[in-house]
Amino acid sequence: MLLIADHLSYKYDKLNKKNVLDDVSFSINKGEIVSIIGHTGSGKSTLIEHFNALNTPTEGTIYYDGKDIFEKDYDRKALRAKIGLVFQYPDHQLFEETVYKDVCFGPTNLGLDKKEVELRAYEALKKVGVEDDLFFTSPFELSGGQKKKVTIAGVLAMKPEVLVLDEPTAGLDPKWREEILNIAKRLRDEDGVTIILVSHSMEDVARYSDHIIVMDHGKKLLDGTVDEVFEQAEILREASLDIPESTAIMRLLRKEGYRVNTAVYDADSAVREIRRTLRF
Amino acid sequence: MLRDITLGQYYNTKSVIHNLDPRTKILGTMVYMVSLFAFNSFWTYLIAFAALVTVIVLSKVPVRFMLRGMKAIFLFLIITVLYNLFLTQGDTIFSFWIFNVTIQGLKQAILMFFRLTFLVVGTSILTLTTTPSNLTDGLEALMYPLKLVKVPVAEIAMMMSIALRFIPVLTEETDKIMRAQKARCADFDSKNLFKRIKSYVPILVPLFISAFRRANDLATAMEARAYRGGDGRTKMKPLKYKAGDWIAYTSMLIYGIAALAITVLINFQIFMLKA
Amino acid sequence: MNKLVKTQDVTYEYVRRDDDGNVENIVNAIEGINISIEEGQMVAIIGHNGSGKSTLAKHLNALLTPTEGTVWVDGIDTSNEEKVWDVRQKAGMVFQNPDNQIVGQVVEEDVGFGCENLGIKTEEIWERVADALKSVDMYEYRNASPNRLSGGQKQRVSIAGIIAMKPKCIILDEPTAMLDPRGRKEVINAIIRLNKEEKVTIILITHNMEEIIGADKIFVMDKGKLVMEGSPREVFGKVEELTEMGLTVPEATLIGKKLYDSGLPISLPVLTKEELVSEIGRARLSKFR
Repeated sequence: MLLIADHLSYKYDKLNKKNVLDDVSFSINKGEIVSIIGHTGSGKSTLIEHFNALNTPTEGTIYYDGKDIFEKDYDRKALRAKIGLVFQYPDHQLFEETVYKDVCFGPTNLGLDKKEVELRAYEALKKVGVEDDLFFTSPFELSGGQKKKVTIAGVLAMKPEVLVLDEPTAGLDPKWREEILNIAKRLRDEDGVTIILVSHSMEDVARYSDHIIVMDHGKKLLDGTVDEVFEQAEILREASLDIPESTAIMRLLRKEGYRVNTAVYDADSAVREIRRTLRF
Repeated sequence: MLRDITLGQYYNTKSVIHNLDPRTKILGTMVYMVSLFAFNSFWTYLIAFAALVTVIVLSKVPVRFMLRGMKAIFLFLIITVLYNLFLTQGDTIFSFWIFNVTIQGLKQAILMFFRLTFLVVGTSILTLTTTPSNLTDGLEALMYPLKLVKVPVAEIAMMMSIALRFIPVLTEETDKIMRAQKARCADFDSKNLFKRIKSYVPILVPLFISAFRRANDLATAMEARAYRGGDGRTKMKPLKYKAGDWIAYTSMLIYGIAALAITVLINFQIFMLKA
Repeated sequence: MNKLVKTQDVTYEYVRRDDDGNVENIVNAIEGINISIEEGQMVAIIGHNGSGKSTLAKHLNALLTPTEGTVWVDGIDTSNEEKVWDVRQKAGMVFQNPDNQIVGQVVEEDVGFGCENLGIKTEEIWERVADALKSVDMYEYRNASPNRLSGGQKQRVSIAGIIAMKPKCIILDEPTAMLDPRGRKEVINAIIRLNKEEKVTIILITHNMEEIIGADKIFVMDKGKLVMEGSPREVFGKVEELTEMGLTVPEATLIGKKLYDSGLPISLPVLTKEELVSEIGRARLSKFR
């Protein structure tokens, strides 16, 4: 187990009785793609900011690679390079004159020498598929999808072992959504980077994750494989979450007496499953 | 949480003071400020103190909230008091090293201490009992005469109001940007002043860009809602004087006359003594 | 029926300038657009980012005026500068970012902002604000600070701010794009209710196809041109064309189409889950009888 949350609780301040996170425990394995889902205010953003010690828990702790990251002499700056966090809005991160310079920011902060910084920035931009001719344009002139790629590269240049993506596809159209999620998948498949994905899109979550953690009102509601989680449609609905549309269709068919498997998360599998059941 | 920051520091107890018209409260505060500078004898300060206590009691706002404002000017207060204490010329009481404490200095120091304390507590009553939007409305109404000399009063008030609305939004945004850069190992705690200033560039650039975008969006949205400057606008919440306001104005008048009377009386006594 | 919004051959040129202010090139953000919208309808404009749909929307309440062609809102030519404020009263607009369109520091003050601009009497503003807030189910939040509301609630406040101006139609430019699923539902339900119960004409610009299944008409924009128009059934019947433009269709429509292509005789297009299930049932009966 690479990352373990151990009875994590968090409050904004001591006077406030309300727990933003309330006794949350789970573990994430190396090389997994894990999704954390929950509606706004469920505590998921607060949770992921604990992974790289941007937040400090009120109670409980996090173990990374066997070590307590909130221990007094743990090197939390080094941790931020190992657990890369990409925030939702690229505009909160981009600030340099050129795309390339912006990607250099992270590795420069690590105190690496100039050659190493530039090499890493180049590799990171290549990895996410940013074209060479965009390297020296201003990041502010890019489209939403391109900006997102650059912010991911900006974190990848620190060579993280874990990449946390906070709603990476929000505001993007279908083509870009797929492209961004494929970058994450490629990083896991080719480089073994553990991916933690925060998302509102149940379709994306179902398609890409190995493991899903559902948050509601600061508590962990569900934790399991994609099939295990989406089987619990009623519990999800109580947390104001949906199941993928294809799954909903299969559940409806099942209710009507068709003996279909409801563990289906996209249109193509749905078609296959319906054809299998109807035998045509 | 950052979004809970409310500028000003409105503390609602629904007291009679809260219910006063903002114009009354602003003018009242101004009368009070002027009185502190115009009249500076022991007896007028005693009246000023009594007036302050009355208003505090009426407002039902806990005193510790008013003393909060004192924290900010604490250093300034100490320096002012010491400056007056040691550097006023007059009849020496005692002296040590290079300092000379005089009777006039002592008097002046005590006077300054109370003057500043009363000033700060007095103005914080205004902000504690008036919502920011009420305050802008009040200022707009009081600045009205400036319109005659072509000052865009309504627009200035609108700007103030929008600034107040967006301060919490931008504060929260600053925090998010800071976290995004910290996630890229940015260091904001460098001991080296130059490095530290430079480390804020990655925060300021996104913040300014965002602020300009917001301003642009908001301008479009306001235009779409038929905003065309202050002329021809009506008010959803027009300011209206109520009975309480007339009582407040009467009290202000009595306070002013009393302070003036005492000052005149004292000066008359001194004059008589001298004669 | 009465044509509330009508455009004729509308083209909007966007002039791009280099650093010295010289004209670099001229781009037609939209070109030759002809649409007409009837009173009381709910219509949708779809198209991927940069297709010109937002530019078109801004023409409908005179935030932009056409370089060529004419836009009429309730019979008023939007290029007539004297009538601009009438146009904006008749056609209200709600934008994407919930934070960047709320002016007031208190919910009710924000809802009253538009009315104040129109010079409406104080007592009437209060009535309108109360009614508008009730119509989007936000009345109990009237004294709250906008900063403490969720995204969905903020958008409903923005809608109320427009409703209070008693417009004939509301243009919503991707009002749900920045919201989570729950906020989206809140906003869409409020919009549908306004259309059905208060008979307000709705022009909804969106990416989310599930939201517009119930629309009266859908306009599809691509590269600045109007490429398709029709009922949801007509538009979503063209799955291939839409996909080519980078647009999605409702999941049930897609599955229905794929089943049809693999030989199941269902009648296309299917719009909802329920429809799909009953179509599958019907097709099975006819096929395997």
